[in-house]
Amino acid sequence: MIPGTPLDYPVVGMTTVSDAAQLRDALAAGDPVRLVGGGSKQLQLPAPDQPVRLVSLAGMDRILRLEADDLTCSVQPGVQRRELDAELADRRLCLPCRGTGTIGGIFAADAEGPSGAGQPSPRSLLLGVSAMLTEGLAFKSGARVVKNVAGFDLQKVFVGSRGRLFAVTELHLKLRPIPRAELHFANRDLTTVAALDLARRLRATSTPPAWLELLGIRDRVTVQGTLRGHPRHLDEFAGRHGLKPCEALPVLPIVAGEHREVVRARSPFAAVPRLLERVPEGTLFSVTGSTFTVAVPPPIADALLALLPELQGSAEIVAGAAPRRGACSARDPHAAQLEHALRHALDPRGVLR
Amino acid sequence: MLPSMEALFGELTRRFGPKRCLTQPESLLAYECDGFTIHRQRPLAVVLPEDTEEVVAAVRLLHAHRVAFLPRGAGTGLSGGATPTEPLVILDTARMKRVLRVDPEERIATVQPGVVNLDLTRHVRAHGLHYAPDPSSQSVCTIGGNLAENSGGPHCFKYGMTTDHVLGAKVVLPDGTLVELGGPAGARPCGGLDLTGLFCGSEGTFGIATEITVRLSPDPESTVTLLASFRSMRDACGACSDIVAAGLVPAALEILDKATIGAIEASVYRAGYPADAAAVLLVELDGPAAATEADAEEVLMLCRSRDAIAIETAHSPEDRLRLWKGRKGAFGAMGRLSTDLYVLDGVVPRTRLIDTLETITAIGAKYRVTLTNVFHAGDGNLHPNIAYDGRDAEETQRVVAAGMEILRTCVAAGGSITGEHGIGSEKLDHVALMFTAEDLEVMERVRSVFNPDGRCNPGKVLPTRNSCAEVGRWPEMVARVLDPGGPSP
Repeated sequence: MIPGTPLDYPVVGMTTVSDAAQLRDALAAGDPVRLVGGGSKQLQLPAPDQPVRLVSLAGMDRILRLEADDLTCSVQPGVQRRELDAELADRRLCLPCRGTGTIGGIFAADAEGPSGAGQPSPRSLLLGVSAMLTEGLAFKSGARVVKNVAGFDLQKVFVGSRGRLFAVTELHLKLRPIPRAELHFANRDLTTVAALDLARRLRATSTPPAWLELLGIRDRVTVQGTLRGHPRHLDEFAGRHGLKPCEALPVLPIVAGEHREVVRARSPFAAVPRLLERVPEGTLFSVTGSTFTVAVPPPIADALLALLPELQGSAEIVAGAAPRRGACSARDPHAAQLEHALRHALDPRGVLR
Repeated sequence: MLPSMEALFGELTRRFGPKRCLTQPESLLAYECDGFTIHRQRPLAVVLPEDTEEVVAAVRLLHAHRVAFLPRGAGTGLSGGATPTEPLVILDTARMKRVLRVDPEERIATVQPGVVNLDLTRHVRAHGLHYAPDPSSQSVCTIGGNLAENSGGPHCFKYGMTTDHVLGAKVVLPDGTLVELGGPAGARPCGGLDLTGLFCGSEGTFGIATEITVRLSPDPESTVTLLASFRSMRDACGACSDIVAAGLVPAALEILDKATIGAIEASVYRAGYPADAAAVLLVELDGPAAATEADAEEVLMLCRSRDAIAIETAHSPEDRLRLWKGRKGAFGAMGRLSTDLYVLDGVVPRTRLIDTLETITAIGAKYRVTLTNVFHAGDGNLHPNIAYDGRDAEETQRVVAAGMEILRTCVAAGGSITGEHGIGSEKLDHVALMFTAEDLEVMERVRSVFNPDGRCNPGKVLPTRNSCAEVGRWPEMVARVLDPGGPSP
């Protein structure tokens, strides 16, 4: 249904919209809908609980304004990240968070979560939204300026909502100047203890890396990341901490397979050793900021989900068979009730799935 | 007093004792307003809980008696957020001032809401950490109040607002239910919604936070503060824009106008600001020493190219404190100008600062009010301050009208009616400048999820449906305060 993205849930049709009026029409029928951007993250999200019609916002793909001197821009949700990056780079600006695909998808999925020390999370970069409820009510929240506290911050709750609250038609973003210099590093083949120790030392500095990841299998861990800032500082920092510069960061995607599902957990960093204890030998894992990602058999995935509340964290199965995807660790039942009530208040017919 | 109210006060007094359940008029006087002194109304009673359990107990009692309440921190808010709009009970968090947990390795702390902002930084200083949001009132305002208002401060330009530093909170909902939002691992749990982000800045209308987990920031390796003085406000704003356009991200970019400088230099907050300057630009750079020194050189060059009269560079903590003393004391220094001060809080895109300031000056002249400007220039967050005599109803009306026109100007420039002070009761009528009826309907639905009966800080943030001119009621409120025995408006 989505070019290049085989979905594993039943879809009854697809509508691509290019403006708010078309979006309103697409939502008006009240039948179950899954909002998508380019569709690249669909297999990382819970499958809908019934057949859905896909409503793609990929046709809403315009950069509406780019106010370089004010460090802000406004875009439609279907704008591709690479296109925005190219426009920003021409003005020596950047959107300082990770993520690929459409801009709407990056914020709706918030896959990286709070990336941790050194780098803003998407939620701190979203200044405001124009949006639409499934009943067709158009509204806005936040503002276009970098500082604003008028009204309730619905744009905050949009981040990570996976298109289950409302559809956004415009996002107002906070930008930053391109860093003066950037230095990638990768210290490879460390024991788990040595890797954790290096990561702790880097996190404890006054200028932690903008990106820091532990990637590997137990006792063969790479500590890699990106330093950003003044060139003189980067060289000095890398030298002081014994960081080994590299051209580009290795990418080892952690993917689901037969009898393996991907669990993403968020916990205090100090809990990482306890999480690793639950992971079988030879299993590839990644730790970025407060996020621990691993692909494990279902019983171990369940054990991790059960363990996380004890570690003051939470976890979710983010890739694997459709029926299991989206399973989460238990959380405060009253918070869950509030979430349910909020969804019902904004989408009373339960259209968004 | 109604019998039901008598029963409620009896139960509250039995639970909290007479020292922590205030009902005598003289005890309630201090609670009739916050820093927004135009709007005053005394509460029915004030309860001072000490922990989560006591807040739950108090809120359950109030809920059972169907009596409204509002949470209050230090009362330093500037938009009337902690001032009653109807007969209600205030839950004062002043006695909830314990730092419950500090984890230096994770760089987080969990505190009670009554912890004073600056006290948290003092508490964690030995670990080389600090709490980044720093409102001007940081020596007295509380973390709970900061959370409710999503407070800002001079260092927001680089470090963000309160919402960017809050990871989670224990919250007592208006029916007494205790709920945990977010936590040490982040504001949004895996697979869940960011209710923490939604709660932050809800101005006490969603419930009362009793424990707050915040992110702590590492102290920078080095800090350089510069004070550049200019012959015109246009040059000062131009220098600010040049610094941002050069790709620098200072920790703070603040501008003070001539009238503010005069008030500061004549006060106990005297900081040695040049008296002949039309405006001064305070720039703070922090980070690795190599970077701050290089960036400071560039800032010096950019300010000189805007014909700065003089530039002072402070490297030592003492000199930096002195330069900040004037800025932080600016609002206090305004006390010299008149008996009352109305602090506005509009935001414009930074590139519209100078045009907006010129319009604000014209508005000040039109309404014959005494205006000064001290503002977060990097964020485009203006604080036009109007000094006035609150005992003069006619002058107060002019002040209110000038404020309305200034905020209308900010919104017309693509900005906001509030950057860090909140809507409170002050800006209820200004809300329509920014939001449509549809926007407000959606916000009302969200509020009803947390506060379905509307008894938690009623009359704040969202204008009531039948009100067409909330601002117009302030002079009536003022009249009521001046003449409590007079006819009801």
